[in-house]
Amino acid sequence: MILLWGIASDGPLSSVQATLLRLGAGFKFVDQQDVLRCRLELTVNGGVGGRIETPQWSADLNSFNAVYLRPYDVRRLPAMQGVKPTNLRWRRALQFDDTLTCWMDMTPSFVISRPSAMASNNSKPYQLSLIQAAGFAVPDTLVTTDTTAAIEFWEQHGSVVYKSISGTRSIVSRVRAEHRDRFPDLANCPTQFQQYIEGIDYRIHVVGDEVFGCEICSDADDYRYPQLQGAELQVRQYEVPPDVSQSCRFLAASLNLPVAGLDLRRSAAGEWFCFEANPSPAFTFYQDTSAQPISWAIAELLAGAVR
Amino acid sequence: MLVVVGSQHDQAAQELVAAWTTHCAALLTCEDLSTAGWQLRVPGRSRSQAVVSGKIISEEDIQGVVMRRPWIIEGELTHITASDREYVAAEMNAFLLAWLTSLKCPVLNRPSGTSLCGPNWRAFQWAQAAAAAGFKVQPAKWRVPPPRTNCSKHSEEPSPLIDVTVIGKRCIGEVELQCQEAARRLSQRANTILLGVRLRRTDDGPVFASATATPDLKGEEIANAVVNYMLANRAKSGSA
Repeated sequence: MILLWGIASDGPLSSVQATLLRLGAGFKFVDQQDVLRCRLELTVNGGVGGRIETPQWSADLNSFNAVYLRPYDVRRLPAMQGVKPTNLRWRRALQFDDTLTCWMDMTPSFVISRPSAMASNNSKPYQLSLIQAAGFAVPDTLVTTDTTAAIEFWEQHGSVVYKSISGTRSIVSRVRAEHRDRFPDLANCPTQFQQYIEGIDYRIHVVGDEVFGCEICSDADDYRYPQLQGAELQVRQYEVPPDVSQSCRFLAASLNLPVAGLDLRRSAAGEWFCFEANPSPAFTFYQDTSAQPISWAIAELLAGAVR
Repeated sequence: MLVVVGSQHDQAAQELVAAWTTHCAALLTCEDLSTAGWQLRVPGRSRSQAVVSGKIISEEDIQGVVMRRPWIIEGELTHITASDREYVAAEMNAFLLAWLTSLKCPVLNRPSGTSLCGPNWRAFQWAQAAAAAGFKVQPAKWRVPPPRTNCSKHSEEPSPLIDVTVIGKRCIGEVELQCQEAARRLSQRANTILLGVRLRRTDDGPVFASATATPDLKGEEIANAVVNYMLANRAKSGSA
């Protein structure tokens, strides 16, 4: 049996769910919107076991051989609207998510992907050092609270971008002359600057041994938000060169991620840079625009673990 | 310099700094992360630069780091505009994780990705790891939501507790050799250098009660062992 965890309207989760239905693979879905009506019991007695109950079904945790998780921050879900942090229901929701997350790290079942493995994405410079250790070129990066250091870094590279350090989503932006006035604010919080690499963006999805490539053509600093700069965006299927495919597989494996969305850029000199490994990629955008069966590959991977 | 990473409101961290004055110990707080002077390069072409107790320090001058906190929480960032605190806390945690991981000197304990100090394990994860390390562990059950009555059976008179502290290969605590070996194995499984293990004395021998990656460092023997570990391993790494 396969366990799916997340919210019903999540694109990747619903896409995998629909494919599992077509494959005829058995699965149970835990809807995070039901968090306040779910129950969980965990037992530790040599191994780990327990039971999960939702409004629709209940099951022994050991009956799940494979798990696909796409959880959201439970505190921000509509189901939690009106529930205050001082309320017992708030605590219950957090405990449920926390306990289920821990089980997913402890269970010997196949998990896409284990929460502890996904944690490298919580710190981009930390993950960047892991990406470099796996053999990819990475852009020169400075994290600083120092105005002088930031300006020197900018002058050294000529063109730099800034973006969040944590997993908090931010819009990657080029540092421009008008930002100079804000540089003294850097003292408040470490800020990440990165050498701007001229080139073409690629999103590569690794699913087990399979590799799906997308070439992205856009003039925007951050192609995810082309409208902010009035830029065009084109995404098309890309045949990833074998050596790059192998590097991508190796990186995902080194991060212990059965599924990963890798952000690559090929420089004008032909060098492949890797910026980030997304441990729980929102692949449906790329799947829909490039007509590649990513959800099918994920569903096959889950079903294969159950057979 | 020995760096203790903790809150300025953490009495134990302050005491540790006071006890290690001869080693130029200093407290690194979240306020230091809001001070000009930090620099971390990735790839690590140059040594990083930190701000500790308001002073800019080169990485080369840090002999060791002791972590006294798993995270920076937004509530303590009173020097940051309220609406920015959640974001700034996430950024500071992400930065510290990268910086602590990059250090070549001993860090007790290094971040795991889910915590700034060792693994972010819950009681049931510690219990499972303790059993695998060779401790006697009583079967236990956790429920969400918790039952109205406590599901664990406790005896009327709680059995006495024994604390064991692992520092590298050293084990401090009045327990049998077998328990010391199990504590070292648990430390290895948790990927920690510094580990506190609490055992419950029963008629069947010591039983695992809990473990922590931020044990109490009070007491001369433990504090000295931590310093000695850092100095010995700083020397091993070949740094000044």
